[in-house]
Amino acid sequence: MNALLASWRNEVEKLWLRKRTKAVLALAILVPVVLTLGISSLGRMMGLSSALGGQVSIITLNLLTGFLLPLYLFISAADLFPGETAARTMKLTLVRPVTRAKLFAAKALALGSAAAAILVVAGVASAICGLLTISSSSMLEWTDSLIAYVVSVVPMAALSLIAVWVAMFFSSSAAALGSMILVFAAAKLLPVLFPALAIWSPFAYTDWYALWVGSGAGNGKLLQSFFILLAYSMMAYVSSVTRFERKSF
Amino acid sequence: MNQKWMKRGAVFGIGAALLLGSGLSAMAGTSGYETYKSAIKQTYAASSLTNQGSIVVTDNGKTIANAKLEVKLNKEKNTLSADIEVTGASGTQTFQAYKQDGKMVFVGGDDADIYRVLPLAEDEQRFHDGDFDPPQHAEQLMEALIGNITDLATVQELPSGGKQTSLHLTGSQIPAIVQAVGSLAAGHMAAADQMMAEGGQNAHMGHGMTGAPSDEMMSMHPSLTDFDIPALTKDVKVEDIRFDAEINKEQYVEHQQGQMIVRGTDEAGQTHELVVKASFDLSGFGQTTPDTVDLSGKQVETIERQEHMPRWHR
Repeated sequence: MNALLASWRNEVEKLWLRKRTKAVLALAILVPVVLTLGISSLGRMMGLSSALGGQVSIITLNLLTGFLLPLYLFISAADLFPGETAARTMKLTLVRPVTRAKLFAAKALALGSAAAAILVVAGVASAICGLLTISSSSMLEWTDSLIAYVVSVVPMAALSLIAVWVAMFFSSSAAALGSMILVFAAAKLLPVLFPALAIWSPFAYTDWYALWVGSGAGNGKLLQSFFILLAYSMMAYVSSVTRFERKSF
Repeated sequence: MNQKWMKRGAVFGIGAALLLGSGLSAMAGTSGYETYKSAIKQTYAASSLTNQGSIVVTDNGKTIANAKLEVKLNKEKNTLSADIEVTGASGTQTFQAYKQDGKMVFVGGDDADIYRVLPLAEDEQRFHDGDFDPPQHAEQLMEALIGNITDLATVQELPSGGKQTSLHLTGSQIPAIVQAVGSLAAGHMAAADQMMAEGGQNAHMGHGMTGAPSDEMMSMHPSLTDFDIPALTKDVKVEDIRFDAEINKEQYVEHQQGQMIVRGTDEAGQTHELVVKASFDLSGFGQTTPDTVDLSGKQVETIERQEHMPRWHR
């Protein structure tokens, strides 16, 4: 367990030292601030401030889970796997007294924790923005956005595991990143043309939180979508860790 | 080694089974949205139908606008009749419209004994397939835009063998775009109402002075009744949106209603709760004969068509 924890710390530090991590964290703060300022100045002109004031946290979350976080997770996954292979630092990591399975787990966990941390930062930032503008948000909206941010970790974790799975096929981070974006775009666009596919696409659940807020969808639907995300995560994890163990670096 | 492979295989297998199970059950599952969508398509595919509806706007429980309408439509005979009654602060007005013998006839409003006739071009005389369908691209685009919201629609079996679908959105569930449009509309309804009232008067003046065809066209449009809509200026917010539909055994939508609640404060600091409620009863599927009007001996005015005039049904 100690080996896993130590490796996780290593991987998290690697992510943290990247400029892009700080940039995404800054964006996670900036987006709600800009939205709040924009809505309050625009809103004063058109009387929209209270209609949209309570929505800042949800709009921020939408931007994050629909666009910013996937992109960040793709880049980071490409960086932690093929990127390290290309930079020849993977060998250094592998000579440490850690099994490959644990190293893989540490990397996957690091991605998940980065996603969670960004969500926490964005959630706190939008909550503070909400408090400062003294919008007439009800208690219900507070709990709603709390739930929305918490449950968004699940589709983001599934997304990073699938990104890792794609990354396993490549030995250069640019090719891996390109393919991930292609897969993501395809998975997002196909349901528009063939609505029936939306159920099967793991990326169709990036706005999963919509099922949780307010009265929410029924338990059956929540379980169904959770199981689909879980199933994709399980399959992606197992096949990636297997590939990772057999790969020569 | 072997044990590890077994474990991995088991995890992968469970994952695959879980995916297949959940995915298939989600596909087979009756989505309220899909149920409603297929029923409304089936309903409008009926050769004829009667649609009786009402739209009521209340402000803190006081009715400020009330519209009743009855539309009868027969696609086989290419006829339609509509009867509209609007009640506002300044009283009640009625309008009727008929599509018969290849022309549209309008009557009602301020001068109720003048029948205005609009001859229809050849291709407008018939109803076409898809005239009453929503455009397909719009439908797909909308589904993509609202995303998982459609999953919030529920469906319930009724004891009569029919189904009831409902979608109920409150608070943060209401998409930001709906929230913005709804609040803007509610906040500006009063201004629009006033503008329309003024615009209507101008049109009548123009009609009296010049009698130009465009003014004639304007005056044909109902000069809207005045409504007592409060001017909401502060804290305007869409609080609650709900849609309900009842679908009968034959997959026709028999009843549907929508309701939107907007809360806000006016200049004087008074809080208002505006409720817009629309409710429609559909009946006479395949058995509706639209009303006709006998123009003989009536005062008839023919509307001259201009190039820039909007075409009917398009």
